[in-house]
Amino acid sequence: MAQLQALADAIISGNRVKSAELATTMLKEGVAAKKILDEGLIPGMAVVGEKFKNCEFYVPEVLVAARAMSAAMDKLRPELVAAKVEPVGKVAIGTVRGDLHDIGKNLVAMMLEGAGFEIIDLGVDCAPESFVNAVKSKGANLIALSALLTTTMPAMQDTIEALEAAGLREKAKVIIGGAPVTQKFADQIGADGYAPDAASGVDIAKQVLGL
Amino acid sequence: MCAMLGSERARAALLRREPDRVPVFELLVDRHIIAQVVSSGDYGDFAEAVGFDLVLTDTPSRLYRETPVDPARGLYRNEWGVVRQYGAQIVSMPKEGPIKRPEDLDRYAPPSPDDPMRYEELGRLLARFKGRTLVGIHLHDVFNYPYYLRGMQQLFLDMYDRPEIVHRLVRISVDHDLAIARRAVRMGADFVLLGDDFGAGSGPLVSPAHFREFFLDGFREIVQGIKDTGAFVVKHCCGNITSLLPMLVDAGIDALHPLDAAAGMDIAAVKRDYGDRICVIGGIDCGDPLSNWPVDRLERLVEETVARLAPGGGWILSSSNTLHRSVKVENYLAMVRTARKWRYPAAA
Repeated sequence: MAQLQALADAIISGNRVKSAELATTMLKEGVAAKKILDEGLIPGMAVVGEKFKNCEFYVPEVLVAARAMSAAMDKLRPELVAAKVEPVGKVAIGTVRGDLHDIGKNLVAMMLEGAGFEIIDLGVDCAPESFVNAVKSKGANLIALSALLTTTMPAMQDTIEALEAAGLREKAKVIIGGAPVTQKFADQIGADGYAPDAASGVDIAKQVLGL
Repeated sequence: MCAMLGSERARAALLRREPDRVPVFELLVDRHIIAQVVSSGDYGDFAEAVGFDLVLTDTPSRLYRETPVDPARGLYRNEWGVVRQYGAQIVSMPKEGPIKRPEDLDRYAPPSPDDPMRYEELGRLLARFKGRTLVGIHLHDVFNYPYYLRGMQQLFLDMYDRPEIVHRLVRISVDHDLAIARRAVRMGADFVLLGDDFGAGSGPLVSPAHFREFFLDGFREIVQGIKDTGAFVVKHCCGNITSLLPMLVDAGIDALHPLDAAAGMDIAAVKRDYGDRICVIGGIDCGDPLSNWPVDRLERLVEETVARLAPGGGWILSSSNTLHRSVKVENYLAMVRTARKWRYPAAA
């Protein structure tokens, strides 16, 4: 459908006015909100993610694309709620305790939202308990941990141990990322997945959830 | 050849000549590391004990006064109006800037570059080290102040929505830092380290096209302004900046730090490709090798690195970023000790 491709293109080019207009027009024409999401928004953000991985897009391009996506989602959200459309997953994402960096975490959150996940953004300097609460009280089934310092990486292990101590480890998969983080470290601490960069976060999230 | 003074050794490396042995430098040293080497906890004492060939003032945020906002959460506001948060890391993090709406910029005045506080630490380092080592001041250049003042995400959106704001913020940063740099050199500073980070893990934060549009002219201006004083320009930039290298080198920098392998930078390749124009600074990973490896394994790495990077000069040894809290002091001292065993041919 040409309008769905036009919506994807508007997302890719970061045109939030056009993305919102197209979403509104299609809804008025009776196109289901889920169809617009699945065949317009998500493919558009998938292209953004690929371009980011390939260094064709950089942080500013991803931000304007995410803004265009958000403008369209604002139009779709009431319809999605009314139709009881479930997100593909619910992610609690945050930078771990002692770490104040957020740009990487924010990019991953945007990419995951663009892939159909519901985001619970816990912010920065997040104690392990905040992730535990996100699973217990908000139903998160994926925890995404970010650390940009070698000195704060141990808090990732603390978070996994906190989930185990709360009896919630089986309720949520844990993926980790950040500049000093490695696959070896992820394996050592028992994380379910490791994303080497923000663009890979969506692939890893889907992989660990079996999507 | 008699042993060179540290200043002579560092100058030779920056001029891409061969000194007597490999010069040693670090961008920042965590106070916990300093305290393990010198009981005073003083950076100057640490630099003396280790034998740095270049000494550098602390992170630029220390040049400005701060007033408490919420000390229990480590929040302080500085003279730029930026709220910074202190935590476990060496440097406080910017949390919030004063330019929340475009019209805020019309009323904004940056702090004075002439305040004596900007030059206090430099003065102390010059009094102690001038002539024996090269003495430098650590400043920002074109990226950090704009994103501190506006927020990084908002700055990137401004590049699309309100490009004039980005240009104005870069102008504020260049004018401020160039004024400080010029006065620092008049005091006796031998080099200025420009410390803004444009790089992320897999590439620069912004595209080369955006860097050219918004930041390159200001960067060239500040580099040339410093070079016109006779001082060296050392550019620090974390992350993968391979695609920006031609622009940074063409701007006239004398050296580039840290060329971190963990970010995909190949210091040997940069030396090969640009070593006729810049000195490279870096070499030993401050992650696993300096933090966790046994000393003998680390020593072998240093020997291999020295054999690869030292010939021909134009290299200054440092860690791949900073001496952060997790670095093992015995490993760092072994790194320096091992590198110093190597002699350039004229000195052997």
